[in-house]
Amino acid sequence: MTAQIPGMTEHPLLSVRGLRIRSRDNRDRSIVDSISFDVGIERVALVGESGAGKSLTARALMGLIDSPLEVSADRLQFEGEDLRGLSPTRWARLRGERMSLVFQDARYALNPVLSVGRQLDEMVSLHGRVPAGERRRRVREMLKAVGLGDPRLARGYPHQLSGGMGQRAMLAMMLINGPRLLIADEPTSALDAALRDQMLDLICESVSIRGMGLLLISHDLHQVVRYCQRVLVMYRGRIVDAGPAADLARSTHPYTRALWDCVPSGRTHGMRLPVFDASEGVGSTSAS
Amino acid sequence: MSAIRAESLTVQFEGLDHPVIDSLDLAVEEGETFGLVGPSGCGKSTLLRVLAGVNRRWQGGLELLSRRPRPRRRYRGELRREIQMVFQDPFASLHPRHTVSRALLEPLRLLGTKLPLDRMLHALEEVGLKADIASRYPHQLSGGQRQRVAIARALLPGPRLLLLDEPTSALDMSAQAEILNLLVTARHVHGMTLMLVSHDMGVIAHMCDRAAVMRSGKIDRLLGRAELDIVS
Repeated sequence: MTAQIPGMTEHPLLSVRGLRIRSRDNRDRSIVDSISFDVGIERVALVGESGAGKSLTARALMGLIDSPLEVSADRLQFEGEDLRGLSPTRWARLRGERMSLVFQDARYALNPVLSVGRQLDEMVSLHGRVPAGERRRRVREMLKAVGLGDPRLARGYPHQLSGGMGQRAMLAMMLINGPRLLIADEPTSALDAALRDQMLDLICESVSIRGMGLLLISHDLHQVVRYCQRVLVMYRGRIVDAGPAADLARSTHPYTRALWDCVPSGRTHGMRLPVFDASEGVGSTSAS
Repeated sequence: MSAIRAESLTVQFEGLDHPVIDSLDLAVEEGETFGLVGPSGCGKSTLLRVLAGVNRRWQGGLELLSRRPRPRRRYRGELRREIQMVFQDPFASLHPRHTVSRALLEPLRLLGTKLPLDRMLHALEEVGLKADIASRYPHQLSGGQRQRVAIARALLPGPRLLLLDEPTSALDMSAQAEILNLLVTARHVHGMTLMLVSHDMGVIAHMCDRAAVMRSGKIDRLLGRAELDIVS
């Protein structure tokens, strides 16, 4: 390990060194190739295009990688605890209680046959013995905190909610046990453009009120710069660039540059948008 | 010459008390790239589906590429070839159990094109795909590759008007840039008129000569390059 570990602090919430995800059938090629980073009580973004390995990284951090894929790491620590070789029972306790994951699309992540209130209640009872009255109070307060204060919504089923409300309900489930770290995997890509900022505002606000860490996964560089303090740029399984969000616009890394400049606007009319061509290693202007 | 001319175009869905498209007037010149923006439910996708001949339950006047289609009738003859559409989700518009080559050869066979295999390979090359992709199924492609296949399919009949319904909103930023570059090139090569629906003002401002902001089934305002240039 060199000194260049993004976000290295003395006691990070999450500390990852040399994380690798490979397929059992092809051990020579790493899908996630020895990445290292720390996340403290801060908002960190993991950015890259689809196929870069962002979601797999999130799943590996949550212990959700299954055969034929396998995870290895030189270090995988959460609040000082080694997550490597954790038993399924210990993982189940950790997930949703100390670390939780918001998925891209609530329609596939929520249980379709349980009401929203019931799902939140289940989340609490799975992680401790809490009296029913106290559970109800927590569910009510949590739903209110994510803007679903109307009691009719708690009785509603996932299919009765709009995309934005479903996403709020999922966020409520992931926060209700007071985890220390929230991982959000493209939490807004299934939402209308108008709702995206609202959702990210809510996530960031919830995270800072609770003094938590956030790992926000996104393909939209411009979006994460507005919401995160630090950015990790991932390309083909590696972290190729990292730094404070404020410095990203000045990054000299060709891939970061291409991601930054490929956004269409009135100023780019009549020009070709820069496209990253791996074979040239620089932002290329060719059509494909 | 106008590629699209709509006069008092109205679309009313059963069970809704207000029309989805409400006596809309619009003229798009041939060779123009024209954008449609507006909130969800404002009628922009419905308008595109009327122009594509998918939604035939419209009233009012419509002139497309100097022909006058009639409501409740399928497009016939040249219009069917000359107007093509690319949908938001290429997964939904490509047959899941047809390979890429089958999806692309079908329109060519229908048109009786000579040397269809050569045409197909040329079309793949044009959208930046390698020939070996022809034997794959849609689920074996990335989102960007699928959208390229959908564009190749739409280009094969040689359209004069290409309708694009949120063609990049299911893609990430870098794939979006590639698809937009591809569309600009294709428009120049084929001399087409493009009609682009998007909720992303940046995409509209990058692509279009003019755009219409729609609201409640009507055109709220028209934007020219002066207005589009300042979209950041």
